[in-house]
Amino acid sequence: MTDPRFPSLGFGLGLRPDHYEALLSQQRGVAWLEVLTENYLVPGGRPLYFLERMRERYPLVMHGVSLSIGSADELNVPYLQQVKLLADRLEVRWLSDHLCWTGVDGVNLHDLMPLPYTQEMVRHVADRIGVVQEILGRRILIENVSSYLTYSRSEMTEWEFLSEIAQRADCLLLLDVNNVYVSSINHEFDALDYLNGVPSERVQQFHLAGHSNEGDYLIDTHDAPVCEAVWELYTCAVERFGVVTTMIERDDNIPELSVLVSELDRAREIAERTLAKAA
Amino acid sequence: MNFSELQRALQRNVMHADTEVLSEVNDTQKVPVNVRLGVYSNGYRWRLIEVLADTYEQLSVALGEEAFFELALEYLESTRPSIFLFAGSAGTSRVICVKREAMNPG
Repeated sequence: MTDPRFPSLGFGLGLRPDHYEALLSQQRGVAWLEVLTENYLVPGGRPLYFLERMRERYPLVMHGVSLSIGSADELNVPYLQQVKLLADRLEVRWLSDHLCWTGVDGVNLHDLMPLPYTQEMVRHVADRIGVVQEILGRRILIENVSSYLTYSRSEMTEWEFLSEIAQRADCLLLLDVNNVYVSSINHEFDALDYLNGVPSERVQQFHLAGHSNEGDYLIDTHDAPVCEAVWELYTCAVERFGVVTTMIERDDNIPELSVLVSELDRAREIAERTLAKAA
Repeated sequence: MNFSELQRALQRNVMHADTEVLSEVNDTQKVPVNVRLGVYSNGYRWRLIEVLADTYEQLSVALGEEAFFELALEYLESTRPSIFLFAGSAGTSRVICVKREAMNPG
């Protein structure tokens, strides 16, 4: 089988307004940027002005939160058409969104709600990814979310669910290593079983991020540095999947750019060391 | 219930504390069902309060965080506002862009 993945972009960051100026004045250590799709769908204004300038310096990918691929509601085609226009205009390398639903009957809960892991949902989600890929004219990436509940009707593990959808829809995966870790604690499974259960030829990108510890469970907050346990899991992910485009996400308590670049340097060092050991 | 009914039931729990979905969610000794559901329902309320604090920034500063939180919670209990356009980060669901008219108590 031909490898369906796009060429790797190396190590990048999520673009946040706090870093617009710094990213335009220096480039050390940041090979590419991930932009939040919904923040740039309104024509004109400061965000698009900066995005156009970023595009001149960095390869871009788009990451959305509104696809609601698992919802019982119909797909939002006008939204997808807007996304396609922006993607074409920016010549992004790829687009991603989440394996979740965000609301039903026209309501938006503004959260990434988990799905039951059933064959019915596999078919529902895979069919809809097919439609999305047709509208966008390209293969998309689907990301595993952190979750705080599972359903009694589930028929398989999360990684089996994710893998089956990827194969059936012929899409790629954005594997969020922190989300795997958070869910493994919340649902008491072995995170390595998750990594070993995902098809390596589908994994296009990694996310790394921080979370908060609530005692008996974890919440994916993106407001802290990547913790040691997630760095260890990232090492295992590199061993399993090899060279994969990697980025750090931070959405709250956003530090100076140099702090995130240092975290990115650590990811790069881990990847280089792990791959050298495997060679 | 079919999967669309399941989503409606969970949505009602998040927004209005409806209990129909409880039997559909796995319970564990470490983290009970009500705590698991609470992560989503509390997160939903926090996001609405954040939007109110951004919209009524001066009132929020004048009252202080705690008093504004109480007032906002009271407002949310008495109305059922909706935010229908947002953009946020993947895992944290930070509300960045909202249709503010939906939040206007007037």
